[in-house]
Amino acid sequence: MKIGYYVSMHAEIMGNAVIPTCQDILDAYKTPILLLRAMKRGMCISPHIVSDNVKDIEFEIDLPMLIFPLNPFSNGGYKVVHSEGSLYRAVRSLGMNGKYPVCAEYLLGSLETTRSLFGNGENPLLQDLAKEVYAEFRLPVFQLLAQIVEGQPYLCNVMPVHPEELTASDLKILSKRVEDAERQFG
Amino acid sequence: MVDIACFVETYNFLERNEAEALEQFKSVATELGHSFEFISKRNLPQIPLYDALFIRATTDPSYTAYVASKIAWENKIAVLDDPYSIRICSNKIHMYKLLEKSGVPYIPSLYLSKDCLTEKKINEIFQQLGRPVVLKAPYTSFSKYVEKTESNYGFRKICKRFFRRSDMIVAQKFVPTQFDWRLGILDDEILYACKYFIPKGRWKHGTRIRGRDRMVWGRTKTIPRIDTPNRLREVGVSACKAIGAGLFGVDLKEVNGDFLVVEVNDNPSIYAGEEDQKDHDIYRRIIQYLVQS
Repeated sequence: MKIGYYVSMHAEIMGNAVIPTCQDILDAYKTPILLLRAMKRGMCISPHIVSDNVKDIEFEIDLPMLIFPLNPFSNGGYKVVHSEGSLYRAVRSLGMNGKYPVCAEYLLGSLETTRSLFGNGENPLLQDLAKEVYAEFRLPVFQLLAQIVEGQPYLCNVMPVHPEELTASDLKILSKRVEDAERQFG
Repeated sequence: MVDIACFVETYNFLERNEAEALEQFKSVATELGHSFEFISKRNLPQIPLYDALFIRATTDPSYTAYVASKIAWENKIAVLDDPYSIRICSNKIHMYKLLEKSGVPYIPSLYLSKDCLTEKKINEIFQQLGRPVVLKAPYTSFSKYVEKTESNYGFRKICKRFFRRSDMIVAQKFVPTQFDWRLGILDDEILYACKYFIPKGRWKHGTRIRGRDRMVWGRTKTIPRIDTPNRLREVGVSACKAIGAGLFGVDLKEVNGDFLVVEVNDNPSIYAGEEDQKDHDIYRRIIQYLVQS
């Protein structure tokens, strides 16, 4: 766990308002939980199945598909698979030889991504979705992956943004928000 | 009739005693008129079809068991262990902070970040906690990533290894005892009580054999819950209350007639012939809790 998690934890224990909460941090980066909560909020999500079994996945989801790992060592990676062979390899590698299941999602449209800062995405196609995801999970910074099907964005996954990926203007926005919060809450 | 799913992994059936305990759960549930099915990571999508979920696989927010628990929770299905308990008990820092907030006595602990590895800071830690100290990575189970050291060199070496797993770790006062108490507590009531003895020549209940991937465990002596000291029960229950409601295994040390919490575990181990030896109703009470939740 990174220091940010412990900062949220400390604030929660002290009874202070904090974003994101420990629960939201954990939930947002577990694809099936992300999709479950997003669906409950009314967001469009990609049809998916969680399994460690290639046959079950093939039965439920047609190729091509997206495979997201649920192993504790993954770092936001995923695979796009177009054939049975690549599906088998993806389930084996991301599932660490059957030790963990994977989350397989239909890939029906074009993949789009955006980086969101406080719900503001740089990709206009995903602007509303980024706002919705931010409203549900309150992650100040995240990378959003979605697919566009008939003009409608479908949430696929949320991934962390590493500090070295933040640009100077991102840092400026973050600093401004922190300063505003300091002014507001003293 | 309630449909209960029991989330397990293959390793839950490797130890004969654990497999027998799981069968006991099943037979008690059936006797009470409920269905009880074992499910695995392959059956996660079916969880919403059940009325209750009982998790026996190892829990941790990064494991599949957390996903199972969360699916049940979000679908308003009764679940042991619930995601909140998993989250708190899996992170020892979070757990100790909640104990501290509730005034529950626990082993003196310090929380270390990477900047605590200077000679000066290490000396201060030893001064405060005494030598040796016990170092714990926050995400541990089965006594793994819990090590003891009395030298500054060893301290730094262990910390560096543990910091690869977490930006913060725990340093604790070393409190040697012959055994640790383990109280199984369900919904703030004592379910069973055991003494987990420390193997001869070791300092913790479960120890890895040097150079091998095998653990040595001390013996377990079960005590009827009614015969446990009042203060032990009081501290154990207050520790659970600080964490949440559900099924917990509280480890405590007896020091000068009082009790200090070592840790609160969600998903406590229940082995046939051990935890159930004196209080035989533990299976029934857990099933009834799930059914009534």
